[in-house]
Amino acid sequence: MANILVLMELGPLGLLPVSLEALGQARRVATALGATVYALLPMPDAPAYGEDDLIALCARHGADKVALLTDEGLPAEAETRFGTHGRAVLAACEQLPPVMVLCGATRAARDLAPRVAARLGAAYLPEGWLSADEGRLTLRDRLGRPVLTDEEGPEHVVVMTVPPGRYVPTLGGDEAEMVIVAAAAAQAEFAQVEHRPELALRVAGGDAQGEPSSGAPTLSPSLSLGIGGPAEPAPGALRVAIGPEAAVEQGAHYALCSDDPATALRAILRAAEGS
Amino acid sequence: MSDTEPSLPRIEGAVLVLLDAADEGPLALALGLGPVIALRAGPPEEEPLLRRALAVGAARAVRLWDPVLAETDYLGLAAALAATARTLGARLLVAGDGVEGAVGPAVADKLDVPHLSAVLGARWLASGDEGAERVLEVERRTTAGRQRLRGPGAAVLCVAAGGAAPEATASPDGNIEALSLYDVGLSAAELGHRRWLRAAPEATVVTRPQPLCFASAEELIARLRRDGVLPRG
Repeated sequence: MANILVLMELGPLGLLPVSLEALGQARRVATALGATVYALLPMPDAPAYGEDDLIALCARHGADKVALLTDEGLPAEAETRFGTHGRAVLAACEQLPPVMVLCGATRAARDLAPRVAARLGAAYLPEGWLSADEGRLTLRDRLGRPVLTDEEGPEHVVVMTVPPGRYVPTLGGDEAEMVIVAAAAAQAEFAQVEHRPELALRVAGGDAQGEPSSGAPTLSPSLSLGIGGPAEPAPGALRVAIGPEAAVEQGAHYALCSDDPATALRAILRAAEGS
Repeated sequence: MSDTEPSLPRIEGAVLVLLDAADEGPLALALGLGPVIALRAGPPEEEPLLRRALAVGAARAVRLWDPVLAETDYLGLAAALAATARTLGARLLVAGDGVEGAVGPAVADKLDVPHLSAVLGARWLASGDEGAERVLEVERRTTAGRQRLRGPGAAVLCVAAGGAAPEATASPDGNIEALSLYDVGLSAAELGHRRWLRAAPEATVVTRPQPLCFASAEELIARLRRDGVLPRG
């Protein structure tokens, strides 16, 4: 049976919503194609008694099985990257040969997913589209162009990142079989020396006072806000559109429909400062 | 490298830049790390990119081309670029981290060296021991901050998009070396099989989906916190 692997990513408040959304779409496609969905859950140690909430959460959101990528060597850096988790993911791919690997389109995935794809010799579809209607699988690239359409499932392995907000999570069963993947964690070729918290935010179209923004744009922002217009495309950034017409702004991940975008922006900036 | 692999004259300690038509940030970063070899996989019409690299201080400009490179996917292109890097003897590569960001990591995989994405800056650390492997210190963007790392000098650095362009300091009239796939030990047949991954040029562009809509700033902020972008409240 074909396997669809979904890499689950942990944030400061638990599993990232986009990981659950990717898992949900994997569930829908797998049901249509008759595939098995594995949630890949990197963990430095196997969960102890009472620590299996994450596994249950993956089961409830569509995983048939949860593969724990356990290894004490998984380094605890500020963020997942190929150098820290790549070998663990590749070990899972070797043990559970996939037809498809999905992960949320996060900054971590931008580092990890293309290299996993390269190692597998797979198609790589960043921010791709995935659907299965009447047993027919359709994959599209980030521009919406069909790249692979197959009734039997893809002939080649596909690695795809799933944009946040594109799919809704699903509800599955209450339990999932647990599989341990003996992951030989990478000895990070680069080792973290320091990590400084810093929100890299870019505002297009207005500032906290609702005035047009000015000054040099933040290099490689993590959050790109478009006030009353499109958010600037920025690789690796979450794009948010705020305004009365924001809901129709294509290309944004999130939209906030507000007749008072300046006030909304100020609320977001306060939250960014931690207040 | 084996005796049978092709090679070209080399520059000791050279940094190979995979030129990006849309972003000169990688070129600017590389110029601060050592003598630069600028590489572009493209037809003769793209030589102005290489002339620009020579004008800002690149020591050497190389153009690799075969028509199959216009048809292959990220991995086919990466195979060609990695073979060129081996032929030129370059151990440190600098690439762009653009919209798809796939070529740099794939080149690193072909060369079996580490890579880092979202790179903001890099510098060599002084080594007191002559002959010891030099250590590279790199700063990169994470979702919630800046990360500083140290690692080996054989790597691929994928530079965050939007960096400043370097200023012209030299004449752009230097020689541009033209290489074929044969020159780097490859054939078109080895790359052509990757055509199946590309979207058909005539494919209809469909309507893009609506973004996920929120009714209030509070709901959006809650989601951004769960995404790890905004700090916990």
